[in-house]
Amino acid sequence: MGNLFTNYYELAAMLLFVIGFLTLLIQRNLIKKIIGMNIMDTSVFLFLAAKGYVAGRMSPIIRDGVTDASLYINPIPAGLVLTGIVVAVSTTAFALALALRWYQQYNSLDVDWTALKYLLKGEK
Amino acid sequence: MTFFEIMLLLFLIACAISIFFIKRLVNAVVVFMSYSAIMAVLWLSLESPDLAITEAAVGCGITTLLFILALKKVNALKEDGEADRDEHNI
Amino acid sequence: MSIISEEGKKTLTSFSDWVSANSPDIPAEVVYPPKKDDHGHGHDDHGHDDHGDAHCDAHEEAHEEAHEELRSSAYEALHASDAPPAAPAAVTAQPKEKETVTEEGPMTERTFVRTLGAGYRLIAAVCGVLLAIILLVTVAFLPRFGSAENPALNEVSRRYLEEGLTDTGAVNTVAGMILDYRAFDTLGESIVLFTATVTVIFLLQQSRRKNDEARALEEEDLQQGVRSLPARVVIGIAFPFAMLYGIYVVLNGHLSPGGGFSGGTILGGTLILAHLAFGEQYTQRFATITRCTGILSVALLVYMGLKSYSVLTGANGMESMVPLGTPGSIFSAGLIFPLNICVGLVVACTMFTLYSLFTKWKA
Repeated sequence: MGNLFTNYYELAAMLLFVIGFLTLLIQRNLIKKIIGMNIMDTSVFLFLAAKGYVAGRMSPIIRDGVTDASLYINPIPAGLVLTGIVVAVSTTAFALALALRWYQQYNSLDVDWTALKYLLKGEK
Repeated sequence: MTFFEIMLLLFLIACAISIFFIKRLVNAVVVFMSYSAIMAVLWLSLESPDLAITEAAVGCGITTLLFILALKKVNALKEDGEADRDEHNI
Repeated sequence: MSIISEEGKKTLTSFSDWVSANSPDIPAEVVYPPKKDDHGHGHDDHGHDDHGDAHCDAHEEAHEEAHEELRSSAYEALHASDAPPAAPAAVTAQPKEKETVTEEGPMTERTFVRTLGAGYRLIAAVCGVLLAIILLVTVAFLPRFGSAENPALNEVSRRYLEEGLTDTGAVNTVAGMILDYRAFDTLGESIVLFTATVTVIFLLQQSRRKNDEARALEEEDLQQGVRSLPARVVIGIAFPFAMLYGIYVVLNGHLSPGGGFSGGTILGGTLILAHLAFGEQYTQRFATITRCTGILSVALLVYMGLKSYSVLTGANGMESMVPLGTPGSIFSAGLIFPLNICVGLVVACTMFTLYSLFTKWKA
């Protein structure tokens, strides 16, 4: 089993990733799919931030000019996640705009129902 | 402190699973909002305060508002009598 | 939207009665314009066998053009629910029949789609479980959470923490990292935001006429804000403070937690809050979509202009251009201060523009 239960942050992040992935795959509604994508986003961010954390150290803001690397946590994951969160919003907005155009075209957000109603009938 | 964090992580997983099973889309969006709020607390416990500020503003504010606006545009917010407008009949 | 409509069924029966009564007199193109019939094939054939050969030819032509017609027929079906229910004229009754046909279609297609969907879900669930097992095994072999022997704590982060203050002058190491060492990465992220804004404008732009219709129809709340007085008062008090806090977080990005990304989201959220409380009539005095996209582009260009200096000097950083100042004072850390303002403006304008576009759109 190794470190499975001592790495509880990573464990939770992986479980959240799988749940978001299944929501993205299985749900038929586009809004649900987009929420699943957001859950995957945040789980990856949680994993990155958990890898950067070191127990007992402080956030990477230099206190009193003391530049000792053994006092602060890793600043790299924080920088990556900070930009990632904001980019996740813009991708969410883009996906929602696409979903709204889908609704305008097909009058439904259910992917399976739309396929049944229009695509198969149209091909026959 | 570890116990507290594990409870928050369990709450996150419970939120994610319930989002999968909730039928009404507005409820799913509100559960996702609480998910983001808990995530902001977890950033603080991971010693990343700047991430906490960003996640609180983004997850609880802007993303939720965009979702709710999109639901309003597809008429998923109205409670009309004939059918409950959940994910299967929008 | 309910799929089964009783009126549709009624219209169908009355329509088919009417067609069978009148079919000898009416030419096939009028009763069954091939353009509108591509959905109905395969089910109404049993009902309308007495129509003769011209009918079938029309059908076949329709099927060859089915792909081209898909779009227009979907558009018609979309408007079918708005049409008045009765009126046994061929043109108005045709979309009604289409809806009903979707309901009473041959069971083979429906069962095919259902089986396909169930099989797909089963495969997806199996894949998810496999993925979970792989990821959890990987987690079991990762280094312990919170240990200082983590290989991610390599010489890069040590360098950022130990030399960052003298290299960049920023007390907040994260700000020094994303706006000095890795400023090109941040430029890419800002361009992602810009691209997303442009794409959403492209997707949700509408003609001015439809915009005015949407404005006239409803959205009174979005025009004038919420009617509840306590909400207006509380938001009116909180709005300037929240704005001030956002500006503080942006300007203090190199000294304290925050920076352009955090403060920009706070500023954007505050503008959205003002839009919610006081409506578009209030916010369009200082923030419109045109103005926001203008500010967004200008901020992005200023960012590029400031950072292109380091390209000219061989990407060696910018320490010689602006003095770093004393660490801890507000005018320090060289170019991180103006770059933070640029990023904050980009993020805030992106957020507000996305929100405004979503409010204005109408299906």
